[in-house]
Amino acid sequence: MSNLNLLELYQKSMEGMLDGKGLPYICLLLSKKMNCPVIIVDDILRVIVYQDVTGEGPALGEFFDPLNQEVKLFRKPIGSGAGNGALGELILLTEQEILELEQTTLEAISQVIAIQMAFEKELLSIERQYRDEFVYDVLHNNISTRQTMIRRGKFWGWDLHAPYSVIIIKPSVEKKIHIGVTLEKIYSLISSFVAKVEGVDLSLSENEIVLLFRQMAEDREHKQFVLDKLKDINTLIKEKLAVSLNIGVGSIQNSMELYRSYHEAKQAILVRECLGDTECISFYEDSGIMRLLLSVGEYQLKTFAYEHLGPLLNLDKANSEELITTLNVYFDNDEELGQASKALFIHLNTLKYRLNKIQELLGINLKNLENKLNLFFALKCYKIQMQKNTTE
Amino acid sequence: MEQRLGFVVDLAKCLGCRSCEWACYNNHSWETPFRYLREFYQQDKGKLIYLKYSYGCNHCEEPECIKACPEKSYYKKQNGIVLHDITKCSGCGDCIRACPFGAPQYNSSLGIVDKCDLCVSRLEQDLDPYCVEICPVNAIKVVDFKKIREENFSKECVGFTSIELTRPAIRFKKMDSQRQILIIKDKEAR
Repeated sequence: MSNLNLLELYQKSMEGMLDGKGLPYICLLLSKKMNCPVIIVDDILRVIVYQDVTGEGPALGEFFDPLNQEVKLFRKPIGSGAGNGALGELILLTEQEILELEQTTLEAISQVIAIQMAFEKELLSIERQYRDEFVYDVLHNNISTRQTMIRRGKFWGWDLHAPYSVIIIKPSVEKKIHIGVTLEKIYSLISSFVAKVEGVDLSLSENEIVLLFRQMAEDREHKQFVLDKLKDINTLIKEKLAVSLNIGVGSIQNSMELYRSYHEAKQAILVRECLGDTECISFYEDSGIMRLLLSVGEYQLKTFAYEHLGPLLNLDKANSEELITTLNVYFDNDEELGQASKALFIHLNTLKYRLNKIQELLGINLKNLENKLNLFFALKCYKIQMQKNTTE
Repeated sequence: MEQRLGFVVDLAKCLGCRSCEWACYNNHSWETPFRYLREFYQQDKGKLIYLKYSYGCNHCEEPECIKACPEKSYYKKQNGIVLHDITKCSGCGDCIRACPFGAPQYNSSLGIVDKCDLCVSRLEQDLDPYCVEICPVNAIKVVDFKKIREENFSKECVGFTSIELTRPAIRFKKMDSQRQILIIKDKEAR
């Protein structure tokens, strides 16, 4: 064990902090004092610092050997007294028991580490604020010339000569109060993930995460690449935080028209949200006719739905939406009677009876394309209406 | 971002005096005012409701004009104000057709379009926009939407449907009384 006593260790770590040596230096001092490797992880358990007595990194296979039962961990939360939850954890890889005096040492040093972590977090958040403001300007056509945009982009490490597609990620969180906290965690996880992927940048805004994917292949390949990465991100977030994501993808645009891609991505999400989807990866180009419906006012949507579905809705009030559900499932199954009856758990003849009843009530022929189109749109309008009522 | 500015209209206070319309017209040297009075009639439970109030550009969260403009002349500031650079405008009118609220106004003598800029230069000097300043009954206000309680306001009213796609930054103060609603005719009476 190092000869430094508690006071000296405290003083040295404070001096190191003031000299800007940061967490690695503090951890090195602690590692020497405790004679064991020291690890600091953040609030989502990402390793920020590893230090052993020699001050060198871990050797291959040395770290968390799952077969080595001898490795004991001593874990201590950092900064939990601040009232904002722990900033992270201090972990000691030691086989010895931690004595009472050493506990006091750890307590003191963890406070120094907490100050340093809070300071670094604050610095990062200021940097991110400037970065996010730049992203806002890019996504809202707020930069007047291409040169300015490229120069400012270069400052943040972006190559805005190339075209990008904009992706928006929104968590589906039930209570709005938790969105901020959840977003921060999701942002941290995604930033670790995209750090390994070339040509991807990200930014965090008020209630969404914006990803920019640089086009590095043909359109179709790029789309597949984006889809694969987004699926990975979705799985990662679901595994780590148990949060489902709504993801919208805009088209590929050059740097001066990235705002178009941004709006497209937003609309892609909106379309899914209006249909009640809480988890999806939706491309703007695939959102089809639905985006036209959203440009219509709520009153018109309501009127259209009731004009075309009125008699069914009135009858369904007593039968818990039997006919509307039947129609929905019938269209969802491409008008295949067999499949639709299976999906509804009813006999084929019952389905035929219900469809006849629908035609009779509405006075239409379901084989007529125009009638089918009207009904299809009216069902979508009704669904948007119902979804809106539920969310409000 | 620090602010999200938008309008709050108090329907119970609006007299329909057109002061806001004239203030806008007099101070913006444009052929037509950017903000103007609109009148609406709607059948509701057997009653015919008549309501009048003014609005112009609603500085939408997702403005259609930005997307529609081929000259990229529209942009959005960080405080939520949607601005238009008339030096880039070619007068094609795509924004007029795209805007669901009829905000962009065509100037036939100049052959270009412009719209309400929320009197951004006045806001920078801590002054209210002309329309807000002139209103004799304080029926219009510019507020930061991040600081208001949404449940006290309505996104829609007679004649104004909130378009989900654009999310306009306008709220209507919920009316305590039906003072301003002039019931013209009862269904039975007709």
